[in-house]
Amino acid sequence: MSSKGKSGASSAKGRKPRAGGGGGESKSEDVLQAVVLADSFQDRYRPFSIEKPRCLLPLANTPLIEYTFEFLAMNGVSEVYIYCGAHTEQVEDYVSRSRWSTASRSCPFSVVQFVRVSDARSIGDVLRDMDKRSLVDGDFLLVHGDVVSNLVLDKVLAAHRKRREESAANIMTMVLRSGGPGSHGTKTNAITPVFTIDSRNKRCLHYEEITPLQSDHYLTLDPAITDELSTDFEVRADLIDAQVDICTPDVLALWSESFDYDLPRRNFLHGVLKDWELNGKMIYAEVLEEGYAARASNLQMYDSVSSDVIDGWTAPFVPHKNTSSHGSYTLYDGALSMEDGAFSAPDAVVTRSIVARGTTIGKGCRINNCIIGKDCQIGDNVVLEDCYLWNDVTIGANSVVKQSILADTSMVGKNCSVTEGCLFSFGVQISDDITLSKGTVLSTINASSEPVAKDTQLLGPNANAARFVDVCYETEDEDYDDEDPSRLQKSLLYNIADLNLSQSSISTLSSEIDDDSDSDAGGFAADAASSRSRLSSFASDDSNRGGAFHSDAVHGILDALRGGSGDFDAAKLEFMGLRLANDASDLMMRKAVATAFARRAAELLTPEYGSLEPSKAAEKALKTRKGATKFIEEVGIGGEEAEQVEYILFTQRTLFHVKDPRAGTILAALLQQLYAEDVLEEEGILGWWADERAEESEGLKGLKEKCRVLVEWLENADEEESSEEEED
Amino acid sequence: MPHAEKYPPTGLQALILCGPGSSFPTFTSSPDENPKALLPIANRPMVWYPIDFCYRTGINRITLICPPSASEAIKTGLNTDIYLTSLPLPRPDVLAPKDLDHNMGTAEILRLPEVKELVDSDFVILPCDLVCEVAGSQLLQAWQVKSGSLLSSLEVDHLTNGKRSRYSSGMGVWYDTKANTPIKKEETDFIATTSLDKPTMAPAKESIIPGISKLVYSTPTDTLKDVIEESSGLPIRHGLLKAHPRVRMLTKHRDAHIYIFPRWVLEFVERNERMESISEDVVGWWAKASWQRGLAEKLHVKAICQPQKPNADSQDSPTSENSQGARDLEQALWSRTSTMTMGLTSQQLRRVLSHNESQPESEVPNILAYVHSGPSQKEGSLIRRVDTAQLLLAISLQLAKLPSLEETGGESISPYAHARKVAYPEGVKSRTTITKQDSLVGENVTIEEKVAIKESVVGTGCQINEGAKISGCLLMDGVVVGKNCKLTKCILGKRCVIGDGSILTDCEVQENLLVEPKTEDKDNRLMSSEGLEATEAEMDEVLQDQDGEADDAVMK
Repeated sequence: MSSKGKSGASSAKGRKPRAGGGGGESKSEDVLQAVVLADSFQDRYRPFSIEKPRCLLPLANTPLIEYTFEFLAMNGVSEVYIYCGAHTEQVEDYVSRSRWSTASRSCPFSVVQFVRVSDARSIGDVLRDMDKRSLVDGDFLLVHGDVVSNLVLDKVLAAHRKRREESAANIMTMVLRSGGPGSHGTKTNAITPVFTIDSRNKRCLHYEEITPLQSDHYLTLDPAITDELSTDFEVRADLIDAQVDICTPDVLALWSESFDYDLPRRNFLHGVLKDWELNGKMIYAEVLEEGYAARASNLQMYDSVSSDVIDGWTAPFVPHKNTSSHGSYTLYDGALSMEDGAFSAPDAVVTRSIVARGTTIGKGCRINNCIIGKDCQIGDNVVLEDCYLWNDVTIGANSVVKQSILADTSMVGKNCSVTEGCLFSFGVQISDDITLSKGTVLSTINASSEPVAKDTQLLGPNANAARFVDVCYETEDEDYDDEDPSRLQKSLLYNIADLNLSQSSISTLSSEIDDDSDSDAGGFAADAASSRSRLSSFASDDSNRGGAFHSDAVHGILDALRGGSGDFDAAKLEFMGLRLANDASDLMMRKAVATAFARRAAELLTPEYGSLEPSKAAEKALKTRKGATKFIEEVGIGGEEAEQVEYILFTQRTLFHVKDPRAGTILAALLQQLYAEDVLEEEGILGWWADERAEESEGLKGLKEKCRVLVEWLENADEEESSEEEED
Repeated sequence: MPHAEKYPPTGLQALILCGPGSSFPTFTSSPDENPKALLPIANRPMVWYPIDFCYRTGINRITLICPPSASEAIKTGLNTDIYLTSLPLPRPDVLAPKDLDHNMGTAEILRLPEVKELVDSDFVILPCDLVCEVAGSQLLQAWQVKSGSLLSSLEVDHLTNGKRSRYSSGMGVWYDTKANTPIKKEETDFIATTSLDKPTMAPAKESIIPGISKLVYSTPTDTLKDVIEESSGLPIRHGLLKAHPRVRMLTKHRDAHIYIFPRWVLEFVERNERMESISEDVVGWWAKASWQRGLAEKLHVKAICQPQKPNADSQDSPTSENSQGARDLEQALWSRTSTMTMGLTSQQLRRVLSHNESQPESEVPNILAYVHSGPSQKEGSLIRRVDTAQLLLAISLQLAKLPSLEETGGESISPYAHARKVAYPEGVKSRTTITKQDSLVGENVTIEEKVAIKESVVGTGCQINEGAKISGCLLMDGVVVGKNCKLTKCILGKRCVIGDGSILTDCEVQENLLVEPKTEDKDNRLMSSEGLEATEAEMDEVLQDQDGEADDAVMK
């Protein structure tokens, strides 16, 4: 289990292997370092992770971090840097008493160092801090503290080193596992990573995640990919990404350059690949066909990985191989692993399970597909299906527990029924004769670690816990995002049945459009789709820096509009300067311009500015300053239908916030004016009319309705062409 | 030369589309008299190649389809050309549907009543400009293996008459344009494929079956560029990735326009009137319909493939039964999942769903793609469409490099090796230089003294006068090259005459044109201006006097 690289640990360090003997020699002397991210800044293991860090939670009766260490050790890592975040002391304490402590004689690592980063809020912060400290100085493995893998990285490491020697721009190699065309237990639910990889040189060209919640049903590859980067590439959604990366220190430097990247995949990888021209770096993806790799990154994955451990896919990291220091498991028929000192009544039926020492299984029990920790007491005639019992769990006689996780020292009374998806946090007790509905999460403390009032009504007189309410979304609602798929990963059960998922349109075969491309479901739909993807891709910009830019820009334009007559060029210049200073995207510009003009028009209705009629107000807002309409056309819209639709949407939203009954009329008047000025085209207006985003709420719908006359007028004018289009 | 007897009959019929087509502005300015199909590639008429391909494939029912106006010229060619007349029997038919004109899309041709009447079995469609060394029998075999169900391949009449459709899948061929002889600005197609199920048994070594994949998207690269521009990126539907999580995309391959189609495709084209071109519309939409939910209904694929064919009883159509079964299964699964989702564990649910996902789209027959690239593209496996003058020159020269049968003793890796490099050595005077390893000189060519021919193809009946230097050129039949001319990388049309002392580089010379002596030109198309063009009658006259002087022909 120990490493090859270890032997030469004390000698050559440094970014490049010293020119010693032969080239092959110097390479193996290179020390392999590893950075373990044991805190992933997520809350998908709540409520368990409130009391114990994720990496110490048991998977198949072994703390998760053990798997990570074993994986690093088998691949010859000699120096390990761990970032733990919350509960660092617990992890340090655990490691210092384990065989991984450098004080221990059997420790394969020469360095195990804990890295503390004050006020880190994301993985990005940690890695930027690592860069500052220059702890790592050569190739290193970047892994998470919840990875379970037996991948052999020799070849991949060699390939990485070769590439790195060819060019310093080759900074990173991701290690992925092919998952086959069908579904696979260890593919993550809800988020499907899509890698675009050149077939010839394995360079990763694009990364994107798709989720069932996205309203945009397209992923968009950079035009440069087909133009110049590759002539033969694969788009793969079948890969299992355990987020095992081989990096050079340049990767950390790149993290430092991009201060707003938080997530290694969605932000960093996506961003670096997208800006390949700017940063000149290349990232490769090695797809392995053998071996096991998965991250127990959420409870659903915990479920899958546990199941794989039972089935032995993770060998040698399975209980009966007794790799962890003090196991004494024996494998029986029916994929049952029992540790010495576990007792099972002769007539109990236990299949496909792992049972640790000190556990007693009562008479007539039926246990299938379960993992049971140390010193559990399972009463007579208990039925356990797909359950995870950690240590010291007590289950009363005649109870039925299905697909649930019961943490240490939790207790289920007699004759209870615990249905699928229930979670019992540490020390939770429920009384006899209780039936829990699906997905009940119980804890004795709340999200801020304070004891809760016990819910005796739900859990019976002897209970000490209550339903656990995750407050995260309520407190930080700015981060709340309808499209955030992570909320699908928060429970043990993956269920999208009750979600309202939009369907993608079907391609149309229309005589007008010969190209029949996948994207044009008739031209417009494609535009809407692509603009939507732009919206989502800029969402991060908006949330971070957009706020300041937006308010500055809107006020700037408003001031210019209020400032009477004269040419608009000065305002335009100022605006462009602001844009450059903030590195604002087109979308942000559009939003700002639309907001400013809509607000100007709306304020002209008020007595303060002369109580104009809506149509007059619209005209005045747009026409008082010479060049204003041109400004809207060039800066605010600067594009075709899709951009126009966006512009109208922003206008509509702004007016929605104006609490004036005439807002709808103003909207219609503005559209009409802009149409008359040729700033908006009928495709844009009709596109907006058809866009579902225009009626997301009742209020927006109301505004939209006011434009019906205008739209109908446009439609009639357009009748001949459109009737032809609708044929198919 | 390989002949049909070697190959078992297949029960398929072949359609070779000989026009419309006018991609050679210099040489097909009057496509009725000089159809593209008869332009020579390495001294053989273009259409000889696909016909030969058919015989090598084991297809004897061959029909050339051409516009009525060009049928006369093609028939004459079939009856007089030395290569075409030496093809085995039965001879190809010529069909000239009356409504076929020079601007008709390839899919529209399939909608013509004459063509519909003609096609009564699964069929192969070829362009007239195809040069394909790869044996068609291999393609056919791969198609049969990958598209027929086990039941259908056990049918008793499997190889007998081919009057009915036994296979439901189609197949196309794409080749790498950059692999050998890359030509600048060659047209390319963008395709996306996904792998088929791995075979349980390893195929034979020379088999092309590993190169077969399922086509999921196909469009000309130019069209793709428009799309990319429009949506500022290449949009990929999530639905595609859900149906096929591993999709390979190729941007520099080209559709060889070799299609093996089941007969139902005719009805598919008939029902979707807006389809104009086979490669872009028929294949493109079919590929998409195989994974995009709902599209198959829209294109009536299901209606066409599902119901029992009127002339077949239920036992004879196992494919439709199969898919019927698949659909039932799918429905059962769906209803089960909707009612039972709540009761299933996540693992069970996943299992059911995976079942589900793999089933539904199987109703649409596959369109297979044989992607000819990488290691499979070794010597003797050329696939290329010759539809520009540059390609005509490049491919002719490439074929000229093949060792002749005379040199190799009758064995050749390519079916396109000529018997001899210089067909008529008696016409070659002494003190000439001909680089035989990369040149080809046709029948009845007379070559005067001090002539140098390097890396060139010289057509039948050409006359090369004293001191001419020809390098990297393609001379079609009956060209006369004057004394001391220097021609480099030129393409000379039939019976054109190059005046003494001319120096031409990178030029194309129209057929029958007389180039004045001492002309110097570069990178140009030499064509007679409109109106001054010689009529056929005048040309005949001229030709009759040609053994005298050629001076009195029309000027440029």
